[in-house]
Amino acid sequence: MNGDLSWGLYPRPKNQESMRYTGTLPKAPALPRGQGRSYGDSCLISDGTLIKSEWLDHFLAFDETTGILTCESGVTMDQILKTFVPKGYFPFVVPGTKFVSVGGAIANDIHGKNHHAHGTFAHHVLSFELQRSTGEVLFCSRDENPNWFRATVGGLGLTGFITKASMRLMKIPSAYIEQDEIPFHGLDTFRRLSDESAEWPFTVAWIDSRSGADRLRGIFMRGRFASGTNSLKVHKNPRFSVPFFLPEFALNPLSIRAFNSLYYYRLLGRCRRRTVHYDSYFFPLDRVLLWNRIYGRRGLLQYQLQVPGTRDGEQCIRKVLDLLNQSGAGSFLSVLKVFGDKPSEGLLSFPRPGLTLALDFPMDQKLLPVLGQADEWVRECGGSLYPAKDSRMPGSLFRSGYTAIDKFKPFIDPQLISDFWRRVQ
Amino acid sequence: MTVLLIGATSRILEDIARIHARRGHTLLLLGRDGVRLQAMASDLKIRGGADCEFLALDLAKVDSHQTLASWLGKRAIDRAYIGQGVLYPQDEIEKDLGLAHATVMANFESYVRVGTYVGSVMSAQGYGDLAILGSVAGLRGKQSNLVYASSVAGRNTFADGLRHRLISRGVRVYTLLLGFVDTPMTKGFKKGVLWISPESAAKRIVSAVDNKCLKTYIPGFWRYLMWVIRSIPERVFLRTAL
Repeated sequence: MNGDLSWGLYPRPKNQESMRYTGTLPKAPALPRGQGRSYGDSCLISDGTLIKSEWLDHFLAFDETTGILTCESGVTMDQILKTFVPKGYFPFVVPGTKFVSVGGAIANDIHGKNHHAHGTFAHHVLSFELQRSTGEVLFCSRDENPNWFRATVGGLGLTGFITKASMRLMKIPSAYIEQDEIPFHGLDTFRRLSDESAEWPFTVAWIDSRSGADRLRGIFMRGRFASGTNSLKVHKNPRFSVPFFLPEFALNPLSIRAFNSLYYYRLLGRCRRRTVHYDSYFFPLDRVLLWNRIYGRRGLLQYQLQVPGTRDGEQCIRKVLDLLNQSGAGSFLSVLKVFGDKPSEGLLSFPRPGLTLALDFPMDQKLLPVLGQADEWVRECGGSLYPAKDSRMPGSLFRSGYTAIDKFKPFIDPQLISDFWRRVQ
Repeated sequence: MTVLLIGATSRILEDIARIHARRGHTLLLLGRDGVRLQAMASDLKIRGGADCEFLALDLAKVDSHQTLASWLGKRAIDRAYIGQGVLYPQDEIEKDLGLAHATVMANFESYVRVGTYVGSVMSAQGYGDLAILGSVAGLRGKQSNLVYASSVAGRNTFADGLRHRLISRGVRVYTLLLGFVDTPMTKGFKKGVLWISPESAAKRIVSAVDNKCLKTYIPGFWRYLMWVIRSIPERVFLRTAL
């Protein structure tokens, strides 16, 4: 639990109250909240009340023949995995942490390493119920209230409180992932590896953001569920946590560079294939609870962009990588991935066909002009930033990146608002 | 194994029920809110419970133990947890004495009636674990929640006495002295370092019963804290705002 801040610990809300959902929405202004794993201010509300779904966590029905699960919106991926992996099921789409709620997964239309194969979380959601502040409850699916469905998917909690949802789970042969790790140099090699790995459901590249575009070094990781075993062992709860905030000098340009070098060279330049448990493949950071504290009290800034798969888009990524290399801005953990062609369904959904780059930085005011320059390039090539990770994108970039904002506005519940929405409007 | 949960809609008991569901046990749930019990029952079966039945019943009603008796029928009960309760702010109780009555009925009287009944079922069986969720609040009367604290004090002593009476009949009664737990009942309180989650409380409670710790503090550090609180001389205590 991180109290009532966001995962990046920045910015800090003022006068924020919270309550747990017990059947009705509180007086305005309010904002639904799951696990609060968004990095920026999309899960914060100054001078308002968070409506937490934490105890709305019942499984309501599960059909073993279809793999369709109906559950309340406060159920977390962690709970789904603990209950359904032993039965041989796994969510189609998981993000980088298990500690997210179903409601949050829908409201951010989250994606994972298998976007090119399976799309976003909402692609596998059949329906959900949305409670408005008037008390009205809408059943939303692609056939019933489809406009509400499309507004609420990726709708950042602003259209109402999702109470329950039905989604399809996928059948898995085992709880293990066969993984290839391939060190590479250069963005072109990354594109080639992505194309060659189209048959692998899970692909992502860790990159050293300091190495610049031409000498980009990274490790391409592709995976698929392992059929060689049929063990359905469930993950264990994390045993480690960061008990206090580390001092600010702990994560500095030198230590970041050192970490990135070590991470790259651990493979000694060789490819490696091995079979790992799903927990270490999908959720390596979950091993240490409250890892965001290693960034210190100042917090961290996440910057995730997506660009079209055109030459312009790729140029934008090159320019951003070169900028990071020149400016000395050190991203601790940088990830590059190809987004597939499956169109996202939400009016404000982030994933679009092309490339996505996710960076994280210890919070530092000096970063802001650097990111401002990156914003320009993203805007020029028609890309966008991910609201779930954002704490500083200018309203103009939000508007240029999300052309359906005007279609979305009529669906916003008048009693709901977030600091993110206030900032970008 | 068959596990009976009385006051099942309490968040702590729900988490206890989930632990038993994962173990594949049969669960019998008793609580006031039938709609919630229905959702809980579906949830527990999906999580692995062998079978899950529920009964919506207001335990504060004087004849509720009879309804419970007919529902249970001839079933054998291996383990039971009793954990219902209400908590009204002391200021409100002073303005409305009906709340004082409600507190005593829910927090003490229902435990005596239902606890005695379940104890007798287990005595007749010759075995059973009966866990009564008590509270450290009952260990010393203090101004901030005196009606609540005294109702729980009665419950703690009842559990101790019942344990003494039934131990020779093969039944183990547990007094679990809970500290601060973050639940719907305590939503009015500001949470600090001493607070634990209902999930954590549930794990500790089930573990205490698994390990046959007949009287224990949840978490254990309350043993020392309460020793200090109880050692404070009365005249000094009267000057505190505790």
